[in-house]
Amino acid sequence: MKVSRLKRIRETLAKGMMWCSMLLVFGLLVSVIWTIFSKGMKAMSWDMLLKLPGGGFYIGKEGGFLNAIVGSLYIVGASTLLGLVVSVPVVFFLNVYLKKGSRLAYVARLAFDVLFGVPSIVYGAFGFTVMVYFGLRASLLGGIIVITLLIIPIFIRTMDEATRNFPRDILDASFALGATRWETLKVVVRQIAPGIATAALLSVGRAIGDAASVMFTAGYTDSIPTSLSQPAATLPLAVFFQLSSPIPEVVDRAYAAALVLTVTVLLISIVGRFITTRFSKNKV
Amino acid sequence: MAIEVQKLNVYIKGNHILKDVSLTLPERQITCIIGPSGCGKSTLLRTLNRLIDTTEGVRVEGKVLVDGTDIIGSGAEIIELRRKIGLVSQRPCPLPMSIFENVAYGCRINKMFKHRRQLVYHVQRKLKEVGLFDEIKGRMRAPATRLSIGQQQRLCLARSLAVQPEYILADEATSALDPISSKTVEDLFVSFKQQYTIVMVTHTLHQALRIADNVVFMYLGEVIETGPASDVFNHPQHELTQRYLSGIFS
Repeated sequence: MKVSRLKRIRETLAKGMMWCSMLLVFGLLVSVIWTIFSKGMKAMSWDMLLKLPGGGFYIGKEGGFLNAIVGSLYIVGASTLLGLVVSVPVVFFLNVYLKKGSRLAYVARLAFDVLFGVPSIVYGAFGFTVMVYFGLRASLLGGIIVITLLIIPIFIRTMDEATRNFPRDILDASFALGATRWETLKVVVRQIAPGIATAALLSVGRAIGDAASVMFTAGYTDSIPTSLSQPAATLPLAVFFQLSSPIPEVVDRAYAAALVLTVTVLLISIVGRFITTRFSKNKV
Repeated sequence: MAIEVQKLNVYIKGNHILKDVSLTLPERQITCIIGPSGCGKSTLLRTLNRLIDTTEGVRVEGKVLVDGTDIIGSGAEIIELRRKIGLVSQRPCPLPMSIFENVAYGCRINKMFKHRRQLVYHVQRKLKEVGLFDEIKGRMRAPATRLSIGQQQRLCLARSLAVQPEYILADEATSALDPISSKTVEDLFVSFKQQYTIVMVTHTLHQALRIADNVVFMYLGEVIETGPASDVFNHPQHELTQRYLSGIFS
């Protein structure tokens, strides 16, 4: 009798704790979104999305932050593409070309884990050093390169995770039919397509929201860059700079930029989920 | 069309897995490889189509003559060899594609047909051969994973047959199936022995008794006894074979 009561209390306690944690996390999410929406909507208008800033981004109250939206899209788009181009072959090499239990694969994975953990400001500092060495100034190209470096480990780790759980039998089945490794890759792609999509989503999420790495490398400007060598504004830096302004209207604009950033990430996630489900159709 | 194995030794990361294996796998017959778990049955099978190459730290010595050509060594045409030797694995393993594409895949990579119409006809014929066509008619575009496990295994068999192999290797191909599907697949193998040389690893002695023409009994990486099924089952020569067949160990 006593034991069963004790068990019941323990059960209730554990359940209570889980509920508390759930509520805490959920509450946090709601309050973040609420803060951004309530403050951001005050300054939000079509002008914000469609016009360039007037009178300087730090003190100017006119115009919008189209420069930051376009800059972010340029950098994220290009670096995601570049990241994919570099990462996909690495993942295939690790999982299809190298044999199971390969030492090189082990060392490579360890290296990617370390790179994954490196803070983005370090990537920024590294990028900055390299740019100084080559005599480059803060530019769209610098931003793209550093963000690509930043997201490559995310890409590789996420795709690798998806590919490692990949049934080896599928490889054998394909090889047994007389397929070469190259031909087998096409089968692998079909199987890990959802993994690639998830990796791209995570990378885009990280790339679009990172301020530290682009601060020194992409710089900031009030205009839209027309070449790779011009500096480019980004949404996180639009938030950062405007939030530190003494003028309340400019601070509100920072929240509007944060709102755009959040909604973009949300949209990418939803669209990504949709695409992932479609890709998973034939997954084994 | 027979396969001849001569003094085959396989080492994986220094462990001696197959020890001096020598045997003949006669053509157009079913040879069942029996023996307790870990005796090297699957390793032997994977060596026959060189899938063993994908294992890390493997070293193969000796000869495996397929149609008189030694397939061990770097000069061997592995891709053509694998096409010639179909494999049906333990668990059905459909490729992440539709039912139709699963069977068509091998034909496509081997560039077997010029026209799509020929390919469609060929795929349908192979699906009919394994008795799957009527069950899945109209669902050819559906993902292969939607099929039941038994159907998936027959699909894998059709996929192997589609590239027109001469040999079929089956690694406990019925062990993951329910009794009815298992019987269906088993019957298929029996009906195929007119056209193909079949090598089957099996864990169940009853299955070997039912379908084998020849039996190879392996123990700890060595071939203990080999010969016609009736001889090995009725008059085992070696004491280990006698003990295994009487169920003293498994």
